[in-house]
Amino acid sequence: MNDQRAAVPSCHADVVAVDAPPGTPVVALVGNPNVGKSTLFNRLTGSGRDVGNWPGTTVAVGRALWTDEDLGQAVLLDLPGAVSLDPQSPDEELTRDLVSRPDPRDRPDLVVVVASAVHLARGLYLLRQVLEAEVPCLLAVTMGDVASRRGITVDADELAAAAGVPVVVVDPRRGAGARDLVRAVALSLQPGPAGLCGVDGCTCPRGDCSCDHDPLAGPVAAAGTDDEALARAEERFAWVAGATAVSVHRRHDARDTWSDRLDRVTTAPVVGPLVFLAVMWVVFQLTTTVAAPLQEWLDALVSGPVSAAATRLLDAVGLGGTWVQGLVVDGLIAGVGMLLTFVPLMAVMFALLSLLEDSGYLARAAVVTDRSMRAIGLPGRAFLPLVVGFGCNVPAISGTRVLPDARQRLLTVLLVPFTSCTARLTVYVLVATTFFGDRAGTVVFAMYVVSILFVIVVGRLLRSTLLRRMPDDPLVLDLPPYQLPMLRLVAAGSWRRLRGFLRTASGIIVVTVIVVWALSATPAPGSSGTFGQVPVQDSVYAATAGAVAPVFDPAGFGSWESTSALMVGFVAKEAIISSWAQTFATAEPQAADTPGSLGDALQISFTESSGGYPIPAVLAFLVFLLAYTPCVATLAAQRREVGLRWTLTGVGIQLVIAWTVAVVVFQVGRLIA
Amino acid sequence: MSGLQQVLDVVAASDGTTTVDGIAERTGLDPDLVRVALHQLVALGRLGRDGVALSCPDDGCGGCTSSATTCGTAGRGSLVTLTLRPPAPRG
Repeated sequence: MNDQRAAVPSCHADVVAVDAPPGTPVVALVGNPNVGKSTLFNRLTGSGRDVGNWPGTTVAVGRALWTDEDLGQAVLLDLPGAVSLDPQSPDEELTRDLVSRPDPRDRPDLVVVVASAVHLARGLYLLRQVLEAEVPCLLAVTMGDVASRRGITVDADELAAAAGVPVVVVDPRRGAGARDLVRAVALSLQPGPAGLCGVDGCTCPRGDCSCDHDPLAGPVAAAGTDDEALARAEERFAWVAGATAVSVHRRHDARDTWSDRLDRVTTAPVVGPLVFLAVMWVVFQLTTTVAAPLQEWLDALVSGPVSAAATRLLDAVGLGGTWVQGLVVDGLIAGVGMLLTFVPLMAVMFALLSLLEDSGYLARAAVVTDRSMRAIGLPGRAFLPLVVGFGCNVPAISGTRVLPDARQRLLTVLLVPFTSCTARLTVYVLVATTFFGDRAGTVVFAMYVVSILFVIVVGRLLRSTLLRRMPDDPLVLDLPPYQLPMLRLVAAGSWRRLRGFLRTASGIIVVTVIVVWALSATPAPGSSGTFGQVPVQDSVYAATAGAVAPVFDPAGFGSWESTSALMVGFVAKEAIISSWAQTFATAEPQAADTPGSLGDALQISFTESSGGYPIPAVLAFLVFLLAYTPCVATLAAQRREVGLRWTLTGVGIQLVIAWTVAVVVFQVGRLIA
Repeated sequence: MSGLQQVLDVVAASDGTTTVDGIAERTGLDPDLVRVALHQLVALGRLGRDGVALSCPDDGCGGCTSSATTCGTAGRGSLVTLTLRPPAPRG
């Protein structure tokens, strides 16, 4: 690598150019993620680099001039963490490209493979591939202190002999071994066989390697057919296993890591699901407790000063009292504005979920879910789309394509709508905070438990009737280790989720709000009034909902207001909020200045429709909301995956189950009340 | 039996879901070695690897309807799944 200012061949790269005299050797640090590579880079060069390499962070190459009395000068590169040189991410692709450039003169003069003593096998696998790239290299073993606490010791001499490369044990944080590394690097950069390491038959006393044959000739030299590739991989694997076997020693009384100990609880057959439920209860409790006051304040702001200001503005430009005012104030501000008051709530919820995900816990929750699915006779692989469904049903249905068996796909497509997506969460929270006060979090949590029960019961029902025979294909789950969440990643994850919510609100919800406003501004046949000048209860909107509403009388929410909201909910569940806000803003415009007026209006509506039993009626409404068809996007995805007939069958199943359970909830609740 | 084939056989023989630790237990290999083996099997195309995004799509509901697996972004704490793939045809 002669041109010290050469650009790294990647558009993602962030290269810090350094001035170095021509001919200055280039040394590259290569290693798995999180083995202390960047810390070592900082230790050796005195830099202050802080770069992680996981999804969501920039793929970057650190570059600094490394000056030392034993070494002289070298350019030190800190390459992105890579599991191997078979790239499966942009980070690994960049590292592969830099290490194994076609022209050997463009490659680093020396590669220092940094491997953790805790997971040495993974580092050795990478080392083996660097060797195959015919790049001079040596091995730096880090994290010896962590390994020692876990009862693991690495014999560097045995490792050097087995791997055929110089091995230096180094502690990047404290600097122990750094001097040995400098000397080993200096020795390896000297002309001659030193540092050009091999596999078998090479010796490397004190970093000075010599081989009695070309170590890279033979099985690793060519790719060829599938069988040949497998043979080559087997040879690599045997090499890694052999080097590990002779150099890694484990104490028999070694203690498990805290991650292992935690896993024994969080993935235990009985305790695991209980822990999962407890964690989710805390999430919903925190969400409603922390965000509800802010949401109420925003609600008051939108329905009060914002609406009033818009009205005054429209009056000032001569549009007061016209249909434009209805559209803007009672439509867009009441509908979309009300939905946007849920942004703080969704932000808190998404932050907590991102926190759980980044810590590695959500992956455990998936394992617990999988086990529960299999325990009740559902195929293990079906659990993945179902878990995704709790975020959004649409990708969950698309995700069923990974299921190889058509019956598995069908079963999962029919079950996904019963998973409670985040769109439904906004309605749960509005209704729960209105009717249940401090217990709102528990009610929201209960809705998710009911959602799981729906999946289980309907799944069992379908398996014992329509879909009796079903194979269970192999699936390997690889759990990430537990880790302390990083604020930056949690914030990025939360924003990603929140952006999805905002895009839905600014897209389909705006359209829905306009349609609902148009229908509620159009007089029903036989009623008096003109477009935009008709009471909402005399509109086409109310008349249509009123024709369907009696169906819900046995469930206690047979009012046109609730029915119209559920009908609009076919488009998107968030639209239920905007629909209610529009309905009550139009019906009681004088209440627009009153904070919490939507909640009050809902109280009155449910009390009237249930004959004085609002709580059972509200619970029945929530159950119906959970179980009936999620949204048109889900229907479109279902139609694409399983065809129109099964999509309609699914809608029928959802409506029948939703209505039946809602009626049971209301009638039983009324008896208890 | 060779290590990779051993891991592949355990995966193929498993009835439903298994984990890295489960494979390590059945093969007698260290979990780290199992991960190395799985990584190589992915590179060989014998296993498919997917990060499971347990979140909404980035651009809202319906934003990734053409996704082959899941959508959203799998983070560093995400679950990774590995599924068997048939060997490439000879010739």
